[in-house]
Amino acid sequence: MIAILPIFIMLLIIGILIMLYRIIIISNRKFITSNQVYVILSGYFILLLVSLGIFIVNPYPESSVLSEKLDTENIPGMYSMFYDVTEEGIPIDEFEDYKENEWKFEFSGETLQLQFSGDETYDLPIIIQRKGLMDETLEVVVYSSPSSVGNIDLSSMIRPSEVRLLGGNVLEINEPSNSIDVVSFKQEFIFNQFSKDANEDEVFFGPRIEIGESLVYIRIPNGVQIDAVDYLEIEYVN
Amino acid sequence: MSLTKIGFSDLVRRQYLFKLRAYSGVFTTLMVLQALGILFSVLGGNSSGTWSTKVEITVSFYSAEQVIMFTMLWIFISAILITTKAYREDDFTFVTNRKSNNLANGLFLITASLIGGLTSYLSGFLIKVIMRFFNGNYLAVSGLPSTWFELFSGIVALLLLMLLLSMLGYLIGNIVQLHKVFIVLLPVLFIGFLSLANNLGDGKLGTNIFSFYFAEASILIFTVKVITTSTLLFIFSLIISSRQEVRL
Repeated sequence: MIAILPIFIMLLIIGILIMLYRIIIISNRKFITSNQVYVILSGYFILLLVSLGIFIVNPYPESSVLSEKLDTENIPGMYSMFYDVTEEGIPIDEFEDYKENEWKFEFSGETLQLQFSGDETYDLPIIIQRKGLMDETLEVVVYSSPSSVGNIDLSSMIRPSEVRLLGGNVLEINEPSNSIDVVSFKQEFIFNQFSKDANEDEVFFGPRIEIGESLVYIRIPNGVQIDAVDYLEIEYVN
Repeated sequence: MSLTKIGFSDLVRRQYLFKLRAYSGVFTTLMVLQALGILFSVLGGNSSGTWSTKVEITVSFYSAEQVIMFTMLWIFISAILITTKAYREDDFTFVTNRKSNNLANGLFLITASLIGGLTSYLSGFLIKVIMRFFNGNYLAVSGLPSTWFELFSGIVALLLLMLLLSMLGYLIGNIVQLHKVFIVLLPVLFIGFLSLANNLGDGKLGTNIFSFYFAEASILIFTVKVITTSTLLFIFSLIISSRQEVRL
């Protein structure tokens, strides 16, 4: 079944444009001579050429242009990484490239309370590994996947996660809110048709957005109990 | 009766120059529509957003697509309107025949396609420059042709697309001039054809027709396809136009 509504809307738009067209033509005949029309058209053309000149001679300042490209095809999402480590048994060291930051704290308590300061509506994946009895340190590593728009890396605009040990037994994981507004130019559909790098989805929906996610990996001394709010997605590995 | 004898090509040339003056309103409409398209593009750029625990990204993306779409509609409607009675009356200022009139119209439509295609392409730069000075947000450059060949191909394809639509509009205009019943019949046939194309061969007929032009990755083959189709459409217009009643 074909969708009649878009066709109807298209015919309606054509009808409205024809009416608009006739109004302009009638006004044109009354108020402007053909010579004046061509003078205005030449002015318009010059304005467009000047825009092209400005665009070439005075491009966007480098400080406001992001141009570092990423190969987003092979970057794992943090939830798939979470699954790989906890279910498939893949060592976390395999994901060294995505390490964002790491911390080490002295810890001698029996219970570690996990606190998350960030958007509570999303599960932050946390993997906990127990270490040997004699080791009285907490090791926290935050992994993160990069954010990108149309494969342009936005990492430089994102504040990294912070981890602190409060009062000796409260581990606070802070995900600062990063709100990024980006302007991007979508290549016109006709140019994509002959582009080798053209992505069909981008032609219709604009540049692809890859959103960065975090995963927290914590190594704790053996025997330490974990006390955490229930919206954190915690899994244990040996 | 005219005592001056002029050659056929000279007649076509004179008629073409006359039409450029007489149909100047067509270009006023072009400028008005493109100004609207630029305004809509700048004020209402599309945006999309997504978020995670870590980051919220909103992307506003801009392009000259709205201007191009408006220009495509403009050339299509212009081509229909120059076949209407009001415009045809102007042709009788000249000692003319159907053939020279149609050729002059064809030349006018080629000129209009060139002007429409070039200005719609260049309007993209005007939009980018406006955004450059009025939007301080970070810019992720991803929407520019990466090679000169891509740029050249895009401009050629845009001009050809305008030409194709103008010839299609001209054919439709000539069909409608045969009998007013086609004003209703053509949209009905169009919807019927879409429905048929959707049902035949699991809907692949419509897709194949679309892909014939818009999935063609070679600019050379695309050019051959569009010029051949445009020529055929124009020949059909000539044939139909020759069947119209003669003004005495």
